[in-house]
Amino acid sequence: METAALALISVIITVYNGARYLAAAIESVLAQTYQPVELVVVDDGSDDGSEKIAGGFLPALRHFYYPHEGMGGARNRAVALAEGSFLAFLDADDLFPSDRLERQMAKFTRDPALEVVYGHVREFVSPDLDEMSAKRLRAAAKRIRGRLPGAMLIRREAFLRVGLFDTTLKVGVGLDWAARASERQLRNVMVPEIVMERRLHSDNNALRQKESRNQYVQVLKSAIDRRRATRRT
Amino acid sequence: MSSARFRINEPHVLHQTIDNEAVIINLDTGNYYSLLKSGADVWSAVERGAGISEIVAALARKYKAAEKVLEDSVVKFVEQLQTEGLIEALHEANDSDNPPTAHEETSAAPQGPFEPPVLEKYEDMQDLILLDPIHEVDEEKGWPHARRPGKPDPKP
Repeated sequence: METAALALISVIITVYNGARYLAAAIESVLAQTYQPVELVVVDDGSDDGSEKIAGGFLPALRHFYYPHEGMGGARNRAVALAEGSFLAFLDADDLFPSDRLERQMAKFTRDPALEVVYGHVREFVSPDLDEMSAKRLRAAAKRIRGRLPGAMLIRREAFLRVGLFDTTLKVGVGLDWAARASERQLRNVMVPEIVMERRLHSDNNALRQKESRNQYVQVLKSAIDRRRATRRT
Repeated sequence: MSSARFRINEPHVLHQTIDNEAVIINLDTGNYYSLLKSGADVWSAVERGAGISEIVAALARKYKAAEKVLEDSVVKFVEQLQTEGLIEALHEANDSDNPPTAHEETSAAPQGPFEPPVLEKYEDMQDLILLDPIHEVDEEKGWPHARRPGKPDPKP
C-alpha cells in the first residue's frame, strides 16, 4: 500500500553578511529527522562570502541572491518563493535541533485544526568567542517560550492571514509580526521541547542607536493602538 | 516638599513620546506601558530632570486642582514608576545644584480638569520582548546579531 505523502515544510533562512555561522545553520536544517523539507536561502545582498557558503550546499537547498533590502523584505521574498504548505524561519546564526520539525509536525498530525505550533528557545554563548567577548554575554538560564517566527512551524495560509513582515523596520521585525499574530488568535499549541538554539555572539547592540530604539518603541505603540481599537469595536 | 530627582532607568528602559502618549518598555521584564495625559506630563517632567515639586508645578500650570491633590498623585505615581523599574531616585541634590528644569513649554494652555495619572501596563508580550531586543539588525554589521547585555535572566 502506498503511504500518504507527508506535507512539505519550507524552512527559510535569510542572511545578510552572516557568513560566520551560516554553514552551521544550514547543516542544522539539512539534518532534520522530518522529511520532506525544502530549504530556501535568501541572501539579502551579502558581500562577506555568505553567497559562496550557501552555494556550496547546492543542490540540497534553493539559493537566491538579491540586492540588499532588509530583513523583512528578504523574508517576504523567501515566503513567496517557498513551495511548502508549512513554513519555518531560521536566522542565519541560530540552530534547529534535529528533531524540531518532527516534534512540531506531530502536533499538526494529532490535531489538524492547529494553525501554528510554537516551541521553546535555548540560548548559548557562541563557543568561538574569545574570553572577553564571551564574558559580556549571558545566556538565559532557562528555556524561553518562543512565539517569535524562529520558534514556530506555521501553516502557510495562517501565515498569510497574519500578513507579511514589515519591510520598513530595521528592528523588531519579528516582534511586530508576532504581535499581529497574537491578535489574530491563531489556533496554536506550544511544545515543551527546545525548537531553536539561539547563538549569542556579537558585542554589537543595535538598540544603542536612538533611531533603532525609537522604532522598537513604535512597534509596541502600534500594538497598543490596535488593542485599543479592538476593545472599542 | 521632597527635592528628590529621578532618572529614567536607561538602557534597561526604552521610551518615546508619540502623539502625547509616552510608550515605555522595560527590557528586563518584557512589560510595556502607556502613559496618557497627566501621566505623559509627569514622564516628560521626569525626563527633563524635574523633582517632585517641579513636576507638581508643571501639572499645576496645566490642570485645575489643589496643590495637595497634585502632590499626592505625583508622589504615588512616581512610586509606581519606581516599583515597575522604569525610573530610579537619584541621591538628594545639593542645594547649590541648579534644577535643570523650567524650560518646558510655557504656552498658556487653558487649564483642564485634573485626572490622576494612570500607568497602563501590558504583560502579554513578555516572552517576545525578552527574546527580541538582543537579536537585532545592524545594517552596518549585517544581521542578525544576538547579544544579551549583562542583565537579569528572564523569568521563567
